[in-house]
Amino acid sequence: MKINLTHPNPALISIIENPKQMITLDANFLIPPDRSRITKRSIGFEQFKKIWLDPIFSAFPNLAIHESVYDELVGISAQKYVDVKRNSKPPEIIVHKDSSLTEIERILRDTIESKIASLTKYDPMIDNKDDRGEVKSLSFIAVKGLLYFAAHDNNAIQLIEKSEEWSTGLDNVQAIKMYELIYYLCKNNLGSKTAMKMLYKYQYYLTNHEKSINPSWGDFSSNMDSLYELNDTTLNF
Amino acid sequence: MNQIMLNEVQIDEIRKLAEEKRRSLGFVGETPIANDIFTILDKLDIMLLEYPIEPEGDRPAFSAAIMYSEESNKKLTFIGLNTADYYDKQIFAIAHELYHYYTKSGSHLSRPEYEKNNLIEVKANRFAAEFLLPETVLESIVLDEFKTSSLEKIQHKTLLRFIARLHCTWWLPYRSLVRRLHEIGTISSEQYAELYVVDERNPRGEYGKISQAINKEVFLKLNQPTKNIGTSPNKIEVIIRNFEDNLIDEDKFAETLSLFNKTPDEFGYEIKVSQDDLDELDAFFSEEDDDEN
Repeated sequence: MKINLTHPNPALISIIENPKQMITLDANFLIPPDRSRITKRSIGFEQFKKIWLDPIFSAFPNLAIHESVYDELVGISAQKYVDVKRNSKPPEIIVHKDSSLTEIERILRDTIESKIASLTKYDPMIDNKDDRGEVKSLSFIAVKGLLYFAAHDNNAIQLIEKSEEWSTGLDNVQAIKMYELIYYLCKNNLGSKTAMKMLYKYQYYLTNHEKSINPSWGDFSSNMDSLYELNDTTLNF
Repeated sequence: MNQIMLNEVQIDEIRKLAEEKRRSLGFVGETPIANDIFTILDKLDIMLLEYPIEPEGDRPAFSAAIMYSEESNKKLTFIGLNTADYYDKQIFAIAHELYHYYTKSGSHLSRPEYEKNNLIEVKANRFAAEFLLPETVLESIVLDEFKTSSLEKIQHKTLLRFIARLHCTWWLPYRSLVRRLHEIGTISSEQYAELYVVDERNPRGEYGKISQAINKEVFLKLNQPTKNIGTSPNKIEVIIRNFEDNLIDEDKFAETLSLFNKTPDEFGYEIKVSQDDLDELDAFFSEEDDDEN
């Protein structure tokens, strides 16, 4: 995925100012990335939990997922992890449920869902699994006026960022990308810096093509510092 | 449920439509379309997506589907073809979808059982048969061969040999040919019933043996699912452009191309990772593994 460092992301600025705001997560924030097709190495869930999930949950006290994303986790380690977080007191994650929508909200949700679905592989008529989580999540948070959706999937991000051009009805939703939270965790000493650097490399700076379109870790961190006017040297390795 | 029967007016309209379309595509008189159906799709700028989808339990898999989409005011037409079906049925299914294309009868997913009870689908099937083998041509072949338009007195084996020759020349499925002969009144209802239950796909059956004696290569080709996975070059180009415009990443690019048995490498985009990077990742994640253990 191409990293965009041309403009600061207002959503990240807002989260930096107040990390207690609700952030709804896409499934790919909870499931370890798997690029074994390219690297012959995947990241185990325990590793992912240690380097990514635990820091994310300690940094942001108001995380959420939509029930359709929860359904995607059935039978895998991420589900047990979410269950523990969900059942802790107070809950560390909440699950958005469509049953909580009022009748008017449901009509609005259906309208947005049909607009988004036409740009994805999801078809509400057959309720297939492809892109179901992101379509259901985005239409729910748009209707409920929730602001932030954190995702690594380029299609989901574009549905938000091109909302005006594509008339997706997601004008008020803002996307937060994985690399922005990698930076946030690193900057705030909330995760192992080496682990964040390796996660960045694994996700964005691995192949020759990615190296031609994305900045190295050093350039990435200094560019992010400039964008967000944070100038300490905590990202030097 | 009773099958829908077309009336004379409806049949005449379909016949005229098929004749007009055949002529406009350069197929005049006794010229079989057969394998040229794929060239016709290119001529009409219809993108073909081939993928084998096996039936699930007793629910028959779809044969073909036609879809439309509009991009920058340009209308795009796709035909999805189930290549788990026999090759002659694939050809018939494309001809069937062309009826929907010509008559603008909307996005459509065809399933064999559904089609018998839906007027538009019955019309599309009739069009496919007429498009692949026009009624006038079939009548003329019968008359030339038997010097009569009625085959009611012709014995079963002779009919099988005749149908086998039609099958291997016109590439219309056996049962469609039997139905055509009955529709034009050439064979009786009893002959139709007798011919319809023939185990036509079995290469060791009576019909299979006769057909192979006539044209083994074509018979075997028509009676096998091709299981092709492929798409029109234009569609592959869309996938490549999406990657070049950074709309999809390398992983998705490779994954999508693999659906069509293609690799990024074939288009000059080799996905390479340096050994140093692989070693670095390996060292880090192995250390993490050790910690976990």
